[in-house]
Amino acid sequence: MKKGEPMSESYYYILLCLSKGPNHGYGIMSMTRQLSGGEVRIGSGTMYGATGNLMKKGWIEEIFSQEPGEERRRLYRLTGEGREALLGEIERLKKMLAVAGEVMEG
Amino acid sequence: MKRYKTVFRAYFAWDFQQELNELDRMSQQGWQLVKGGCFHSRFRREPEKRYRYQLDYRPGIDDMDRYLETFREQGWEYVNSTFNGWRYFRKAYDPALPEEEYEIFTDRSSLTEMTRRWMILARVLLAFALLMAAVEGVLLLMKPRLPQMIMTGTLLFEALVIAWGAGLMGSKEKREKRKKNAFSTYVFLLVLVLGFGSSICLMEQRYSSGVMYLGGVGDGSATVERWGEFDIPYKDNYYLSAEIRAESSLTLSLVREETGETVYSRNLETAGEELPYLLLEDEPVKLERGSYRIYLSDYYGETLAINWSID
Repeated sequence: MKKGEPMSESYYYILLCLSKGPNHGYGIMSMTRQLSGGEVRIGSGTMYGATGNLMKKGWIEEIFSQEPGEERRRLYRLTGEGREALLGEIERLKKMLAVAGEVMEG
Repeated sequence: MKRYKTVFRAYFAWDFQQELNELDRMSQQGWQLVKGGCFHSRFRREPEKRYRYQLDYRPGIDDMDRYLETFREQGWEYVNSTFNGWRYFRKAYDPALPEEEYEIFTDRSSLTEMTRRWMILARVLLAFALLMAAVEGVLLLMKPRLPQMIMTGTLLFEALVIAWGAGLMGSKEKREKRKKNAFSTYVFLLVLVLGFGSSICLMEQRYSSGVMYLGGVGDGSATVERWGEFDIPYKDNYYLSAEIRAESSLTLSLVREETGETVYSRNLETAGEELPYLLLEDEPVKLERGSYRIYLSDYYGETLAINWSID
C-alpha cells in the first residue's frame, strides 16, 4: 500500500482511532469494534503486522505512556504524515461516495 | 494418570490449520499443549481447562516485547516457538464468545502476508533442492551410477512436493479443502530418509571397498602374476582405470571369483621401440554383486609398474 492507494479496513481504522490521540493496541482494537458497530475486528496477528508496517511508513510512532499507573505502557501515536494519509483516504472515500450518489440518483 | 504426554505427529507447513484442529481436539480431551513442534508436541493433562490455538509464522521478530504484548492484550498466551519461526498461542475457550475472537488474522491481506513469509523459505528450499539435483544430474550424465540416481530422484521428489505445497499455501480455499495429511507427511519423510540414506550408504560402501589401488614394481621373475581382489557391493556400471608398463606383452584380466568368468581383458600394446604399455581411463564395465580378481599374466618378462583403480 502506497500513499494515495486505497487502504485496507484495518489500516484505516487504526489511523482513525489514533486521530483522537495516542492509544495502545487493545484500545485501538476495542475502539475499532465500537466505531464499526462490531463489523471490523483487528486480531493480534493483523494488529502486529499493521502497526509494524505503519511505523515503517512513518505514519504512526511508538511512545511510552507517562500516565500514573500506566507507566511504560506502549502506545501508538499518529504522525503528521499519518494524519495526511488518513485525510487523503477520507477524501478518496468521499469522492467515491459522491460519484456513487450522482450515478445512482441521476 | 500420566500428567504429561508427547505426541509424535508431523504436519506440512501448509497443513497448519489441520494441526490447529488437532490441538483443539486434544484440548477438548483434556490435554493442553505446553510445547508445539515440527515433529512432536508436548501436552499436559488439565481436563478442567479448555483452550483454542493459533499459529503465526514469523521468523526473525525485531521487537519480541511488542509482538507478545500485542497478543497478550487480546487474551493470547504465548506457548512457544519452533526453531524455524512458527509461534504457538493459546486462548482460554469461552463458548459464549463469538468464533472471531479466536482469530489472529482478521483480514485477508495479513493472512497472505504470513503465507508469503513462508514462501520465502519454500523458495530457498526449492532452489537448493533443484541446484543439488542439477549437480547430481550432471554427474549422472557423465557416469550413470546407482547412488547418484537415487539421490537425484529423491531431490526431484523433494522439489516437487515443496512446489505442490507452495501452491496449497498460496490458497486458503485449497488449504482448507485438505482433510487429513498425516499419512502423506510420513510418506514424504520416509522417502527423503530412505533416498538420502541409501544413496549416502551406497557411496560410502563404494569408496571403502570398491576402490583399490595396487601399486608396485615387478619382482623380476619370469612369470609375472600381479593381482588384486575386491568386492563389488551392488550391481552397477563401474569404471576401470589402470596404467601398466611391462617388458613384454601382458594381458590384464578381470575375473569374477564365483563363476571364474572373465569379465574384462585387455592386452598391453607395443608401439615401436617402446615398452608394452596400457592406459585405461574410465573403461565402463558392468559388474554384478560379488568378489572379483584383477591380474596381469604372461609367460616371460616382468611387470614394471601396475597401478589401477575401480570406481
